This record gives sequence, structure tokens and C-alpha cells, in this order.
Amino acid sequence: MTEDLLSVRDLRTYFPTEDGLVKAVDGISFKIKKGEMVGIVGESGCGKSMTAMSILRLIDPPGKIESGEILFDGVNLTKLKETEIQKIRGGSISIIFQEPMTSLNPVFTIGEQIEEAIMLHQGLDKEKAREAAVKMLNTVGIPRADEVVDEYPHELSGGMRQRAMIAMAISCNPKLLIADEPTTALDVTIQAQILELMKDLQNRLGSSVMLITHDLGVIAEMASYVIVMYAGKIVEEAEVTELFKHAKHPYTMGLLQSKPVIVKDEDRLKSIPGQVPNPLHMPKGCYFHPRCEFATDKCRESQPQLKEVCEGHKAACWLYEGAM
Amino acid sequence: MGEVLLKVDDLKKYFPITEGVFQHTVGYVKAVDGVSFEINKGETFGLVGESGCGKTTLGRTIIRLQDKTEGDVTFKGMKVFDLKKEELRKLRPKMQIIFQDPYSSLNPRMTVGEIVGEALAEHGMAAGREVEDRVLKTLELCGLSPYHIKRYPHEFSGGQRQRIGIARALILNPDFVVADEPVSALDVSIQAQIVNLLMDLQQSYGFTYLFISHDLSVVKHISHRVGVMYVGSLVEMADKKELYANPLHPYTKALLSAVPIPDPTIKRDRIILEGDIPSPANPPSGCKFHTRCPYAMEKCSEEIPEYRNVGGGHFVACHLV
Amino acid sequence: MEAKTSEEVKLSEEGIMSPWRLAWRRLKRDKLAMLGLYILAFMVLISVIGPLLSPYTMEEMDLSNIQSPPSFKHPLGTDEVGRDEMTRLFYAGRISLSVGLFAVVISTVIGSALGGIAGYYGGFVDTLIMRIVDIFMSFPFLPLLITIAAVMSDWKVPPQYRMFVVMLLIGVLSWPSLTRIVRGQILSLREQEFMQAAEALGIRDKSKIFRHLLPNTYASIIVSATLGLGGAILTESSLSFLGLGVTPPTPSWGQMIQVARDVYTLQTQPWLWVPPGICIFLTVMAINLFGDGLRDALDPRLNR
Repeated sequence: MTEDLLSVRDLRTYFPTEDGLVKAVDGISFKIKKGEMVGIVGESGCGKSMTAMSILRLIDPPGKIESGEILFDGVNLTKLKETEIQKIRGGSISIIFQEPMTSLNPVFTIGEQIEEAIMLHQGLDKEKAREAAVKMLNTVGIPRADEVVDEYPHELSGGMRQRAMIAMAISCNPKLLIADEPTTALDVTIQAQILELMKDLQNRLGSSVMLITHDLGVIAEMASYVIVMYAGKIVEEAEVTELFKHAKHPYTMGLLQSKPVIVKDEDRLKSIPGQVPNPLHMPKGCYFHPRCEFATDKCRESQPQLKEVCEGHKAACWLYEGAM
Repeated sequence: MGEVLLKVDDLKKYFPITEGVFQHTVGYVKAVDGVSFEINKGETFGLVGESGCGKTTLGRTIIRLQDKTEGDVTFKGMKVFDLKKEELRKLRPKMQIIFQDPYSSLNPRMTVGEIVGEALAEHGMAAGREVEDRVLKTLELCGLSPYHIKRYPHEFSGGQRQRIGIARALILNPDFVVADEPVSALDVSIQAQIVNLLMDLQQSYGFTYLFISHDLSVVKHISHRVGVMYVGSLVEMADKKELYANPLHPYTKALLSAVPIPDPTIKRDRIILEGDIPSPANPPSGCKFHTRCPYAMEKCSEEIPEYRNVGGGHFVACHLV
Repeated sequence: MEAKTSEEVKLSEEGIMSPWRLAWRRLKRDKLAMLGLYILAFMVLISVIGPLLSPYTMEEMDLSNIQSPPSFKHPLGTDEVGRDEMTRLFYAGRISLSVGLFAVVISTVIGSALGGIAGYYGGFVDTLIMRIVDIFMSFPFLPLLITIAAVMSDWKVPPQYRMFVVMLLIGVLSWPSLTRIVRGQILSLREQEFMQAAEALGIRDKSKIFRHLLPNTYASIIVSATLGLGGAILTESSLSFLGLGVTPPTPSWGQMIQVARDVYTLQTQPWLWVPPGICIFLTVMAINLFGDGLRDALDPRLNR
């Protein structure tokens, strides 16, 4: 259970643009163990989605993985040929996207889309694949599965479509499931259903999950380990309770204080001043320093590295220099 | 709080569904299906609900950005829908709106100064030099800098654009502002900035807000009273503290329990609702929530529950109460 | 107040980037588009300045030197009555380009106005205008032109007036496509939230049309007009080649190619018909390259 399934080492994904180089993912390293649900949280431009795309080698040119290793079950994904990585996509690693309407092909039925993956990765014939597809739809809680399997995406509601996407994603028993903002586009009551489903499936199938979201509430509910990203870098990571109770990085602390909590009463939200830096004009030194109330001269000069500040808890901040 | 500024009386907004070559009406999307409430001067009335509940349509209909189907809206004693076109136009500065999408709500070919100052000049509220002075002052109040005045929207981030939208609405000194999901499209850390801004401005200038959002935590923070909508109807409404501490309607209870809390140590009993949200084009009979309600009785599918005051300004529409 | 980020500091130091400046910057980077622009500028230049620099006039005949091949005195040879080809080429450029230009101006003005009215008012007005558009687009273009050309010959319309008639014809027959484009733009713009905001602010209709809607349509009108220019020049050339457009002695590039109808001239005197053909080709090609680049540069989606 404590074995590493995924190990990312110093991943860098860069995009050359007309106006300069955008370092979407700027040297991150992290691990996901077998059966673990790791949450990656951050706001727009932090690089969390790009990290997922890099793992699955779905980065479109002119962007590319500049350097780094992605070890999945012992294999370095960055070194695989396109044909080899295709076998992994949808098979041992699958992904759920935010917007089910645009991620499902509108001209194919739900059944056809699930069957395609099953036939490809498990080599079953059409009939057996259809049986498996219906079974999958049942598993994800879609009522009248044998009818829905012949329906088109636009005939289903948002929540149902997301369930169908999940069915597609787990149909081949992936070892790693990447969920990129899976409930952001859904209503609150539907979100509760989907999160419940995901937790249940993870328990049953034992897959590892990489949950990407900007919603701290979702992270607190679902993840066991949390990684916080800002401007392409990891700024903090820890086990979930430890992170929420003893956040160390000023950005994480700011995020936690910005969100009104429904069960607490606050007079004024403490907000983080300024905004996320323009990727083409990154500040010198620590990327967060222009917005940080604790910034020192050192912060303005050099970038802090991600280091352990107490057991099982890492942060990239000069405030903790000399802590461990 | 003060006297009643806005009164909504059994407001309905139906959109016809047409079919065929001759576009005959086959049904209606009952986006707003008989909503009544009052907003007092200086307060923030929060309106929550999920997709299809009609909150956005309600907001736009109240200020007559859309026509009504039935019902009345009384603003400062005037019946909004009885006004003629020119009278309505002159009333506009008093009831403003802040939009959700900071990208499409600003004209890309106008400078910030022009966007914010346009209505001032249009209504003859200021002229020449005075327009620029007031624009600069308002921009500063909204957290923008003076040099922004000559820039174009595309040079700004989402949060800054939203500030421009707020400045545009507030420079006219409105009595009433509809804030239609003003922070939903923004990052969490920026949301807090904008929420604080709106609250500060209300403190200083006494604006009255109708704050529409699907985010229950934000609504709780900013509102004085909160109303919950479901498929076109108001199902519950109460003082903020009362509603969140003591929800009476089963939908409100489920809604509140569904919100994920950013604190892993708090364990809650979550009420997970079955099924999907019904479409306003084909709402369930009787109480619209009965198809998903864990406590539904036979009566619920037959009779529409009355929306009534159960004490202390707490209104509910439910047969169980 | 917010903390000043490095990005904000940079903004205050740089110049103001209006959407037009932004588009111009993007356009400059498009090498093909700039090439098109330079070629077009060159063609315009030689048409305007060429005739002034030439020692000959358009009509000067040198009967002792008819149909002579390119030489030092006549770099492009002479035609069947001894006129200098090169000079004629330059004059023809003036005609071809100006006919194209005026035709486009006419069609743009009519098209934008009608498209704007149809899009803004909708309802019956819209339906009426769109049906007129449909009728125009179903017209048999060529037979109509042949008929009008025959009528003009019959009425003995002087050659110099024929040029204006051709401009008018092309302009009047090509406005429908621009109408559709402008109408479509207005329809989608009307739904944009900033238009609703204008309504909510109590902005009058007139201001809404002229300050909000129209400026947002200029981009597509400019692109349409630019690309339409190429089409207009080609149409004029084709008409003149067929003898239905500009007639001698007024030269136009298309008209100069007419000589190639004679097999003898075609085979033995390429200097007479190849240069005008190349001029048409280069001009239209340049317009298309530039127009495509312009469209990409003005694309509002790239502004985010």
C-alpha cells in the first residue's frame, strides 16, 4: 500500500509564445502512492491542469515537456513512443475532464464511447463490450442503464454526463485516475452525488486518484494528501488535516482565509492583495512575494526551494529557512 | 434597516417553446413562477439556487432588462412595468446591475474611462471635466489606479475587469444594485477582494444589493437575508443566521449539507439527493421538490404548498411545516 | 489598495494598447501578410507614378514601330498601333485599381448599411432585406452584364463613361455577401453582455448603435472589403477581357489581355499579354495574402 505508483521528478513543461516563453509547469516533483487520493489545488495559471496533460503526454505543440521524469509503475512516460503512450491512456491511466458536454463526442452514443475504450484496451468483441458498458453505467449509478447506453450525450443532464465520463474512465480498471475539476461545472447537490460516487469507486477499485481542483472544500472532503501549486511551482504539500490546521506557506494561509466557511461566522474576509502574475512577466525571486505580507529582501532576490519544514510537511518559503 | 425599497409581487416570467414552421407555442419554460418578496433600503438580499432555479432571470426581470409575464415590481413606490420607455430609461441610473462574466460585459473597443463615464454624460449627470473627475474618484474607490482610465479591457485580469463593471454601476449612485453572480467567474483569492469591496461600499454609501449566487458560503457572508429558489419558485426565505442555523425546507437542508467545507476535521451527515434537478420546461406537479424529497408525502405531489410566514420573518413553502 | 505587481508597473510604462494597435502588432509579425502589403503598395505606386515618369503618353502612336518586341526604347514592346506597352500597363493599372476600389466602396457602404439595419431592427425589416439579398444572389450575373454591355454599345455610351458604369455595376451586384456578414455580426453582438449593460445603463438607441455596435463591426467590414477588392479587380478584368467592361482606348489590364484572343499574337507576341496577366495575378494574390493576415490579426478571440 505504501508503494509509489507515480513519481514525478522535476517536471518542466514550457510553451513558447509570440510574446515569450510561458513556463506552465516549472520544475515540480511529487509522488502518488497506490490507492491514494492526492489533491492538487491552485488557482488559474498555477499549472495544475498542465501537469495532468503532461503525465498523459497530451501537450500540443509548440508546447512541450522540456525536461523531467514521470515514472509510472517503473516506466518513464516521457520517454515512451506515441504508440506506447496510447496504450496507457484510457487503460492504466484515465482522465475525467471538467466539461462533460465538450469532452463527450456528440455524434456517438454513450455506449459506443465506452465500448471503444473497452474494445481497445481489453480486446473484447462488440457484444461483450456492450455488456461491460451497461455494467459500468450501473456501477456509476445511472438509472435505466440498458436504455441510456444507446442515448446521445445531449440527451443526458450534466450530472448524468459526468457519470458517463466516469464510467468511461474506470471501464478499464485504471491504476491512476486523473480528475481535472470533475465537479466544478456541476450544481452543488449534483456535486455531492458525484463526489460520493468517486469516493465509493475509489474504495472498491483501489485506484489512485489525482484530484485537481481550486475548491478547498472538495479537497478537504476527498483528498488524503494535498499539494498546493502557484505559478507553475509547488509551494506546499502535506497530509490533508495537517495542511488545513497548520498551513505554513503564506499563499496557502491566504487561500484558507479567503474562503468564507459556511459553518463559521466572519466579519471580514482576509483577502490576498494583487493577482496571479502574468506568466510572461514573472517576478524575480519568490513568485508570490509581491502579494505576500511577510516578504523580506531575500524573498525578492531568490527563489525558495521546496523543503521539509516538519515531519511529512513541505513548504517552499524563506520564512522556514533553518527550520529542520 | 429602513423602509421597503423594492417589492416583488407574484412575479412570473415564462418563455414560450415554439415548434414547427409557423412557430406555434407548445409549452412554456417557467423560469420564474410566482415569486414574492421585499427588499429593504440598505440591506443585502441573497438569492441562492442551482441551475434552472430562475435566479438570474428574476434579477434581470426585476430591473426590467426583460419583460415580465405576470405580476408586479414596485420600486420606490413606482410600478416598474407601468413606465413608458423613456421614463424607464431615465430611471435606470437608480437601479443598476453587475454582471457575472467580466469578459463579455465590457465593450472591448472602449477605454475604461469611456466605459465608466458613458452613462454619466448620457443622463446629463455631469459634463466635461466633471465626468473625468468622478470617473477617477470611482475607479479609486473600486481599487483601480488613475492611469487605468485610458486603457482597454483586454489589458486587465478578470478581477480587475469586475472592478470596472462595479465602478460603472456605482458611479451613477444607484439606490438598488442587482449583483448577478459577480464573483463566480473569479479565482478564490480574488473573490474575497471583490466581496470585501462590495461590503465596504455598502457601508460607506448605503447601497442596497440583490446578491445572486450559487455559492452558499459567499451568500451567507455578504447577505442580511437569504432566499432559496428551486425551479422557479422561492421555497424558503429568512434572516441569514436563522436560515443557515435552522433550515426548514428539505431542499434547503440538503443544499446546505451538500456544500463541501474546507475543514477535514468536520464530519457531517450529508443528505445526498437522488435524481436530477427538474427542468423548468417540465416541472413536477404539486410541490416541485417532491420528486427528490426524502420526506415526500402523497399530498406533496398533488398540492402546491403555500409560501407562508412561520414566525419571525421566516417564510417556507412546504407541507411538512 | 492592491499591492503593485511587477506587471502593473510595466503596464504604466508601456504605451496604451488599443485593440487596433494590438492588431497592427500582430499583423506586422505575419510575414506573408506584410509581403502582400508591400506587393500591393508597389502595384499602386507604379500605377500612380509610372505614367508620370514615362516619356510616352497612353495614346501616342508610333506607326513606324508597330508590334515590336521589347527593346531599350520600349521595355515591353509596342502594340498594334505603336503605343508603348509599358506606359499602357501603368495607365491600365490606374483604371483596374480604381474601378476595383470604387466598386468595393459602393458595395461596402450599401452592404454595411443594409446589414446593420437588418441586424438591429430585426423582424419584418430584417426579413425584407434578407429576401432582397436572396434575390440579388440568385441573379444571373453574367447574362445581365452582357445585356447591359450591349445596351451601352447600342446607346453609344462614350468609353470614359463606361468605366463608371462598370464600377457601379460591380458594386451594386456584390453588396449582398457583405450584408449577410454585417447582419450576422450585429446579431451576435446584440446578445453580448456589454449590450445588455448599455441597456441597463439607460443608453439611448442611437448611442448604442453608433458607439457600441458599429465599432465592433468595423473589423469584419474591413476584412470583407479588402478581400472583396481582389474579387472586384478580377471581375473587372474578366469583363474587360470579354469586351463588356472597359473598352478601348481606355486601357485596363484585363482589356490588354484581349489581344491574346488572336492565336498569332498569343504565340508570337507574349510581351503584349503576359505582363498585364502577371499584374492582375500579383495584385489579387497580394490582396488575398494581406486580407487573410488582416483577418487573423483582427480576430477578437486572440485578444483574451
